[in-house]
Amino acid sequence: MDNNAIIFSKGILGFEEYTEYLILEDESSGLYYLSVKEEPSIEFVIISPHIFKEEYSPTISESYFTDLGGGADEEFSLYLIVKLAKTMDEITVNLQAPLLIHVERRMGVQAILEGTRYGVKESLSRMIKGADQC
Amino acid sequence: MLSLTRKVNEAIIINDDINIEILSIKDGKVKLGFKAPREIKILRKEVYEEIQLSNKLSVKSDNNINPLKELLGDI
Repeated sequence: MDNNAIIFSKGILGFEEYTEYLILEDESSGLYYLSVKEEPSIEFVIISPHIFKEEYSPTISESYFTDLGGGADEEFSLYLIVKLAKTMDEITVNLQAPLLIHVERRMGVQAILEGTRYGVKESLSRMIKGADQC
Repeated sequence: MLSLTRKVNEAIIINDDINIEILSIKDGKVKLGFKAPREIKILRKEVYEEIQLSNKLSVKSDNNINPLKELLGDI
């Protein structure tokens, strides 16, 4: 992704006052950094669910796609917010509220899944390595 | 705040096209039924608040990225 801001018109939950965000890719690690454009000290680590060994296939309400102007599924990218921790096994990832981004339109929204098996604080280690190796 | 009293099977209409019906009241719990256009998001408030809190706790600080890089290095 380039350095143009992505507009989250409703902000990230808890940061509703900020609508412009930047995403930077750290190519060496596969991580992305999502920061508030006007307040760069507010920065999140986000990842693509493609790196998971466990399948991640959320059912996202049609209304979130409509918020971004709609379109075919492949026009949208998903990212997940990581909650960092002191040790690998304590790192969690928010599977219940994925960031849905329409890359071309530079628009995003944090979707919330209802009635889902995906939680807010899931072990990233388990998602990456697979349940059988933990 | 507007306060309305409703009985079972009665309903409230908001903005012409959102219909909220009281389905049952039992053991201190109220069961609500919603009819609304697809673009209306309906969520339990505690889910919303949990995600707000989780996001706030997820803001990166300088000293804690290494365990994550270590984990990704294991792939």
